[in-house]
Amino acid sequence: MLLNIEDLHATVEDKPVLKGIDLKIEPGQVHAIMGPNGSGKSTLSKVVAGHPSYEVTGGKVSFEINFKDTDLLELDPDERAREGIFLAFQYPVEVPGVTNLEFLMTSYNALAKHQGFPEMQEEAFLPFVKEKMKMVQMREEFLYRSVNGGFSGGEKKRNEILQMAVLNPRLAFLDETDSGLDIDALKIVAEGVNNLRSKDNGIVLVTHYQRLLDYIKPDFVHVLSDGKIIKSGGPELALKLESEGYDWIQ
Amino acid sequence: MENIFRSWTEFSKRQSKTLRGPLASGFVKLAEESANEWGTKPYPRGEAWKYVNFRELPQTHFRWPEEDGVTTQVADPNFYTFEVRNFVTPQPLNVAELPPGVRVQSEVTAEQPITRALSDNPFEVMATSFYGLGLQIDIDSGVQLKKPIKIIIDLDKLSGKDLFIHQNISIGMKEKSAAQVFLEIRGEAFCGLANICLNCELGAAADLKVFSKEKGGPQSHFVVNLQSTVGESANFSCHDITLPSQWTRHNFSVDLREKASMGSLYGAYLNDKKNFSDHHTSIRHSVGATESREDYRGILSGQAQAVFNGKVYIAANAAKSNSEQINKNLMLSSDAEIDTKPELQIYNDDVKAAHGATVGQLDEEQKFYLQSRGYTAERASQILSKAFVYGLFDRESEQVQDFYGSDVANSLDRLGAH
Repeated sequence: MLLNIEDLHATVEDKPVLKGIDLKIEPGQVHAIMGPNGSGKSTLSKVVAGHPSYEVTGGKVSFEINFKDTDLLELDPDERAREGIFLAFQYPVEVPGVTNLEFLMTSYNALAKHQGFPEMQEEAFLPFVKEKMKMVQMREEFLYRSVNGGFSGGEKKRNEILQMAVLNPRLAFLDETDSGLDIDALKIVAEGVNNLRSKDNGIVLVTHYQRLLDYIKPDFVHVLSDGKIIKSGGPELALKLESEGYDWIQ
Repeated sequence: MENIFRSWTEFSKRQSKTLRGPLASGFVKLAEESANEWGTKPYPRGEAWKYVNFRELPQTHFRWPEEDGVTTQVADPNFYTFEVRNFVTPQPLNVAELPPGVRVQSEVTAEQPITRALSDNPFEVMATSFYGLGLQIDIDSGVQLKKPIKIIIDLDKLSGKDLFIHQNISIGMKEKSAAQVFLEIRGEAFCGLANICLNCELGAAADLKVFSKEKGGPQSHFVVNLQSTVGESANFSCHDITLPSQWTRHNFSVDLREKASMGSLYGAYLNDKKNFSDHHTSIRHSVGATESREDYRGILSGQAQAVFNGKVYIAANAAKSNSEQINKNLMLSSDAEIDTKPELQIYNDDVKAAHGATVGQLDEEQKFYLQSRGYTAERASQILSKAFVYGLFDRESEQVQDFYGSDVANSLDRLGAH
């Protein structure tokens, strides 16, 4: 099993947000997590990635590393990233003074070094990253701008998917990657994610809306409410939520 | 302060012999009057000087450099570069290369309002009174410089202790002219007090961008004064970076004098050990439809102290003006101190104005973003400290990046910004 979350509890500023989450993800699976505002969807993503503002107060999160289950909660956020955990941010932050190219190459090499595959210098990295940029239809000039500096909302989201493509994570959480995207941008982002699906990695889509799931077909859909998964099912569950809302389930 | 004014009066008497016309005797009188007013006090007590640590100034009698240099234009494919080394008696300047419509001379003759010298700023009094020393740049109507002008005031070439230096840079831009001016003050080995005044007058639709940096050392004391008056639809901006220096005081003022004029002040101060820096700024919206931006950022480590006091004044007849002001500070040590006061004075209801100040640590969300991409916590902090300062100029040209880049990076290493 790639990720196994058991009875996970977490708080932010002493306020309980996750109140007993259970979730299992196998390699090759795509899971969608839906739920009303404030249900804990984003918190779950951030806790798995290791955000320092959240305190885990109970439960276990194990991640398979080299065929062994490892306690993910013992690792720092950067260690989790180097092991193949990726979080596509809902609000990607700007990092002035660091070009996108420098940022991507440093990240790539940090992971490569840790995972034991060859690091790349700029001459090898450039064609590699340009190929990935085609997937999300980003122009080359974005490589030479500072990270997310002056990017539109849609460009920032595409840049997140570009990072995912470059880092090729084993488990990716996409936190409301569809929010703020027009339909064309949504298709581009969805196509990028679909290209990155493989039998070896897992993807978790955190979203409010069914429309993302028209383009990325999940294997499982979970409904999160008040810090717990209250219902799980197949893609049909998302359709029912879209037409009937959350009231029938709560 | 008395020692400074004694030195100044003495220098004024000597200086007046080299000046022409009725102003010559005026300088001595002004110096003596100011010395009476300021020199007898231990140090000024008003708000503008409240936090200034005068005790860190040398209490010795300042001296003029014994050997004077010659200001020259040096060959540079990327800039029109002038090295200022003429610190005692004005000397003629040989200009090798300048485009038509641009004049640079080493003797400053531009008329400057002497009344300004009676302001509450004794250093401004001193700097503006020494008309003769420095550089005067005049740019004719419609001339748009493709290559920037660079001015290097190289105090490191001076030998001797407790030196007293005055330089006056005057930039006059006629209507529809455009230029960039880079000003570099080098003084890592300098021992004494350097008082630099930059005066910029912009005609209608003129565009001037100033990029300055001051690089001092353990015995350097800098006072940098900037005054800019901005004409109709003209645009003035100044980026200034104070690299780690023992003692610096900045007095920057921008007067948006005509409608649709715009003024921006961007600054950074990087203080370590017991460095002291004080930035006093004033932006005046004298008429309507004027716009200003101000963004100052500081990083402080060790037992450093910094002061930011930024005043934005919007006059009663300045309707439709727009102003934004922010001062952000990153404290790397619990012993460092920042005294910050962003200030708005608004006398018209139909304006947009915002101001604020922050004091704190690195942004945890940004740090987490980098860590989530595999950067260690230490490396993430280094990058974000750099980004904090680079954010002021990272959308400027490559020349600007080169001008600040390595000095800022080296200074951050000194501050232990991680």
